[in-house]
Amino acid sequence: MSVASYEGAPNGKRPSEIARSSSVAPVLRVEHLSMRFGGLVAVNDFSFAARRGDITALIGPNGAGKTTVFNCITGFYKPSEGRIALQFGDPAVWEELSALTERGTRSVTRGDGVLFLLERMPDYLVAHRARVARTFQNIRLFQGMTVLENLLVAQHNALMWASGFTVLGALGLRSYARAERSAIDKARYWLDRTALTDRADDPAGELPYGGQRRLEIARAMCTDPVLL
Amino acid sequence: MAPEASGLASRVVGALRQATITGLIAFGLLLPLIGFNTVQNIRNELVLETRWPLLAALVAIIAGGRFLHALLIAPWLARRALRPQPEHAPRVRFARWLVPFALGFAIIYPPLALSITGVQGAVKWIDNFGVQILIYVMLGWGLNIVVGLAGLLDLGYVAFYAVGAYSYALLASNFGLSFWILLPVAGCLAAFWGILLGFPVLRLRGDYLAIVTLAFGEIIRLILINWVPVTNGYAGISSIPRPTFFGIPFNASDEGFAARFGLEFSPIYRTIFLYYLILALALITAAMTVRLRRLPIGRAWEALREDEIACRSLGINTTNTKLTAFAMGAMFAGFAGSFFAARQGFISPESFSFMESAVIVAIVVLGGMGSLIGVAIAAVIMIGGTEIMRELDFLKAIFGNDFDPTQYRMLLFGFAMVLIMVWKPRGLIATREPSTLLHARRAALLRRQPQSNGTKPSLVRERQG
Repeated sequence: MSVASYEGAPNGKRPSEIARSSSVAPVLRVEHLSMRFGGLVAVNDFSFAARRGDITALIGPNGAGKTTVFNCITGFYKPSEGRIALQFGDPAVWEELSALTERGTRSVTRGDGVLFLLERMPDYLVAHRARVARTFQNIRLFQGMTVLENLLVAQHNALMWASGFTVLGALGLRSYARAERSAIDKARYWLDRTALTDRADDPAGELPYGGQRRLEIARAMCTDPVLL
Repeated sequence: MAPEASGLASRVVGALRQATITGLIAFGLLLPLIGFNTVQNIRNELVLETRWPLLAALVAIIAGGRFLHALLIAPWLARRALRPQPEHAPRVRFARWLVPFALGFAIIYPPLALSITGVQGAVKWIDNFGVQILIYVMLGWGLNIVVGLAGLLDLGYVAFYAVGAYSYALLASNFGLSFWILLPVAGCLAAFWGILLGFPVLRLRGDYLAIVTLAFGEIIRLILINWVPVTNGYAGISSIPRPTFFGIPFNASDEGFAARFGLEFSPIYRTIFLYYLILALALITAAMTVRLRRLPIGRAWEALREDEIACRSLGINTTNTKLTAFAMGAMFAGFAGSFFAARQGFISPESFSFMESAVIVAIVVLGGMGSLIGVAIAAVIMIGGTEIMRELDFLKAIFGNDFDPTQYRMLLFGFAMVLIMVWKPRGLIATREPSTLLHARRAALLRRQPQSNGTKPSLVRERQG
C-alpha cells in the first residue's frame, strides 16, 4: 500500500506527490494539477500516481483540497491546469501520452491498452468509459429505492445496451431478461460481500449509516471500476 | 375531580385565545374583501356599500371553527398520533382489489350509464364524466413520467397537449389525413417539441426548470393566438374531422356506422366509441409506464429524482435520461391532444391556458408522485368534482336562484388541496412499489400472512422525503 501524503505549505493548499514507483506502471497519473475558484487557489501544482491494485490515500487537514482533487479526477470539476491520465489494459499505451496531449482528443487505444485524459471528459463519461467509480463524503444513495435497485442503477449502461436502449426491452425480448438476471447476480455477489443480502428489498434510506456506506461502495463496485 | 375540571377549563381558555386570534386575523383579511363592496348605480357612479352582517357571520364561522378545532380535533389528532401505526398490509390488499374493480367499472361504464339514464342522459354522462375524466387521467399519467418518476417539475405540460391538438387539427383539415395516421404523428411531433424544449432547459434544476417550462407553455399559447394565418388566432380551428370507426364515419348517411350495423342513428355511438378510444389510450400510457419502470431507463429516471450527482458518478448520461423522460411525457400529451381535438371538433388557444397545466400538476401531486392509481383517483376527484358541481341544482333552493355552484369550484379545490396536504402530505398514495425484488418469494409469503409473524412486509413502504 502506497500512501501519497502531503507536506503542508503555509497556506495549507499544496498537496505534493510522494508515491511513485517505477517498477509497476501506474493506473492513474495526475500531473501539475491546479484548481482555482476565482481568486481562491484550492489545489496548486499537485502531482501523484496511483498503481494498479494499490490503495492510495490522500491525507491532509480540512480545506487542504483533497475533495477538490477527487472532484477533478472524477470530472465533476474541470481543473484550471494540469493533466490527469488514466490507463487500463496494456501499459505500453502510456507511451502515447504526449501525442494524445498534443492531439487534443480524449483517449487513445493501442492493442488492448486504453489511455484517457480525464480532464477532457464530462463526469458521466469519466465513470462510463474510463471506469472511475467514486463514493461521496456525505453518502449519496438513491434513498427511496431499494438496495437492489441501487445496485441495478449502477449497472445502467450495461443494461441499457442489453435492452437495446429501451426499445428491445420494452418489447419483452429474452436477451434483456437474461442481462437483467446476470445484473442481479452481480448485485447479489456484492450484496454478499457487503453483508447486505438480507436487506436487499428494503429502501436504501432505511439502512443504518454503516450499511449505507457499505452499499455505496457496493454500488461503486458494480460499475466494474479500474479506479475507485 | 378538581384537576380534571381545571384541565378542561384551561383547555377552553386556550382554545378561546386561539379562536380570538384567528377571528382577528380573519377580520383583518376579510374587512376589505367582504366588508366593503363597490357597486355601480344607475348613473354609473361607484357606490361603496358595507356588508357588516356577512362579515360578522364569516368571522364568527372561522373563529368558531378554530375554537372547535383547538378544543376537540387537535387533542384527538394528538391522541391518534400516539397510537401505534397500523401495518401497511391492508392498503396493499385494498390496492390489489381496487385495480381490477376500477378497470372493470371503466369498461362497463358506458352500457351502465346507458341503461340507467337512457340515450339522452347517457351522452352527457359518458362524455362529460367518462371521456373528460379519462383525458385528464391520461394527461396525469403522462406527466407522472416527467414529474413523478424523473422528478422534473414541468409547469408547461399543456404546451405539448396543444402541440398534439393543433397537429391533428391542422393536418386533418388541410391535408385530409385520417385520425389513425395522425395520432402517432401528433405524438411524435409533441415528443419532438419536448426534446427541442428539453435541450436548452434541462441543465436547469428545480424551481428554475419550473419557471422556464411555465414560460414555454405561455409561449406556445401566444404563438397559437398570434400566428393567425396558420392557427386562426383566438377564433380557433373549427369543423375538425371527427375520428372514424376504422374508416366508417359516425353520421346519419347510408355509409355511416349506424346504417352499416343496422342500428338507428344516434350520437351515442360516437360518444361510446370515443370513450373506449381514450380508455385504450390511457391504458397504453399506464402499461408503458409500468413497463418502463422495470427497464434500466425507468430506474435511471427514479435515480435521477433521488440524486442527480450520484447518477453522474455512475456513468449515467443525465441529459439524455432527462430528455427521454421529457419526450415520453410530451408524446402522451400529444396523443391526448390529438384525441381532444378529434373529440371536440373545435379547438382554440383558450383550451390550453396555464390553468390546465396547473390542474394536471395538481392531479399528479395530489395523487402521489409516481403512483398510477393515486393519479387516477385524483383525476376522478378533481375533474369529476368539477363536473358534479354543474349538477348541484338543489343548492339553488338553499342559497337562492343567483347561486352558481361552478363559481365556487376553485374555492373547493383550494380546500381539498389544503386538506390533502395536511392529511397526506405525500399525496393520496405515497407508497412506492420496488421495480424488482431479490427475495420475491419471501416477500410474497410475508404479504400473504403479514400478521402471523409480525414482520412488516418489505414490499410496500412510505417513501422517504
